[in-house]
Amino acid sequence: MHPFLDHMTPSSVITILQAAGPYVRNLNLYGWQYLPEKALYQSLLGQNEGTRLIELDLQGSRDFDEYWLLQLILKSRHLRRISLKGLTGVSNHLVEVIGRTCPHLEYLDVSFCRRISPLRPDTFSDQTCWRNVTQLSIAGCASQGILEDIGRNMPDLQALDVSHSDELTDDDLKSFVAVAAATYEPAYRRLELLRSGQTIPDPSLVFLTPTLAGESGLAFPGTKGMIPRRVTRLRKLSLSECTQLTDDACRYLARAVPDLESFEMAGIGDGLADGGLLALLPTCPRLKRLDLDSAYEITDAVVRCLIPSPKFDMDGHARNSEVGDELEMLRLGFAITLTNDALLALVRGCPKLMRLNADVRTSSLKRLAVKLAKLNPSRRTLL
Amino acid sequence: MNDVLVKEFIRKRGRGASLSVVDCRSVSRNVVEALEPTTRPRNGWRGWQAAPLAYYEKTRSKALGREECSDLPVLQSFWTWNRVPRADRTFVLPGRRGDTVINADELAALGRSLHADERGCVIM
Repeated sequence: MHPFLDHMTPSSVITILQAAGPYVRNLNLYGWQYLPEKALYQSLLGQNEGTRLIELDLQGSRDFDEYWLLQLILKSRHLRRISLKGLTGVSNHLVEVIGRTCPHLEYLDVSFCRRISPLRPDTFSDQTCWRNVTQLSIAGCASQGILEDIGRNMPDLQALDVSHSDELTDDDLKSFVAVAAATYEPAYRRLELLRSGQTIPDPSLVFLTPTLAGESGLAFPGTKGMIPRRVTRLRKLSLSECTQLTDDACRYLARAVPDLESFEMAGIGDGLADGGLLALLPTCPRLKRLDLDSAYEITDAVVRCLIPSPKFDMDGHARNSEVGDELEMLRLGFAITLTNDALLALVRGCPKLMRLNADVRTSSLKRLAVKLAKLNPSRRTLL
Repeated sequence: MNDVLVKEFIRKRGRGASLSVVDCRSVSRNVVEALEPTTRPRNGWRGWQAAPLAYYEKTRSKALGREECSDLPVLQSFWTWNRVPRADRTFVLPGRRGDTVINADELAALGRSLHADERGCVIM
């Protein structure tokens, strides 16, 4: 169903659906602005007790009536992929209903829905209904405290988008990778057995020293000062335009996202310094896309840590994969503190780097102007 | 980000690469103009949804602009930005009894109308 057929009216879509509606499994009405909700619901339901929908994409019909949206969800228990991006009819109650009604849910996109911005922190607190979710997008709607539940109840999560959420803080990322005491205490005791070879290591947990982890070990009794971290299966993470975040958030993610392929942290401004990035990036060898737009405090050190070392050492042995081997796209817009030498080394060193964005455009001139006003007068020039 | 870097990137990465140095003061006009024959100013693609963006594609023997839909490397800079054709430029449709001059919206509408009288499902 293609939305750009502007010579086809919604009523003709309904006519087609009335004949075949109850058999439709994948319905993609992306871009359709005005949909007749009741007729759509009735044609998809037909005479059955529930629709057969597996995939539903209503992105674009902003004013889809809330009541009919709820009815449609209640009758579609087989849904695996739902996209309701931008719909004003999406409320907290609807998100909870989706969790209760669709046990096979794998993909949920409720980003930029005005009414749930921010979401209630206990939205994803039910332990059983969100188990199968692998892709979640709550851009613009994430609130404080919600990441803890997401981390605990969605163990297979591969893609998470919490961008454009002004309420998100570094502590939320810390709680995202936190481990409950009931889990880490026995795991730490097993570490002793590991050394004597009596058991295999647990891949979902890792113990870090306080320097690596960025926090003190005092909060974790029973681990002799080591900090337990959950190792997630995230491949795609977007934290762009979350203005309260700093590079400490990256430090908390170090060693917790080894499969990361796409990392976006654009638009953060002066909160993003080198430290956290230098802790995180070397631990993501599969990184393909990195977006650090408007990070005007980072220095060459970040660029240099992205350059992989030579593939073969003096004896001809190949090394393990390092960050930069897979790097294809890098956005460093407005990173004015970088030098040519570092960028040149990057271009020469990363074999797959095809898209490089090193321009001087920024998404928030206002934040930059505020920062400039605070600089002392001798340092007033920026470019 | 300066000239040497731009030249090195385009030369090393070749086709499929994309480099954006918009508003970088250290990138001079010389390097952009030197690379002009081997790069394209925008990442253009074919498809009737791209019609409003009017990506230029060389279809007739007379070249009216720079090719935007091939797989040459994309170089975006202040100097190429200046030279991207305007969105309100006119297109000339040659006809037997004289040429018709239309704009981008009309061109898109013309493209859509060519499929309008297909009965039944439209195969995308």
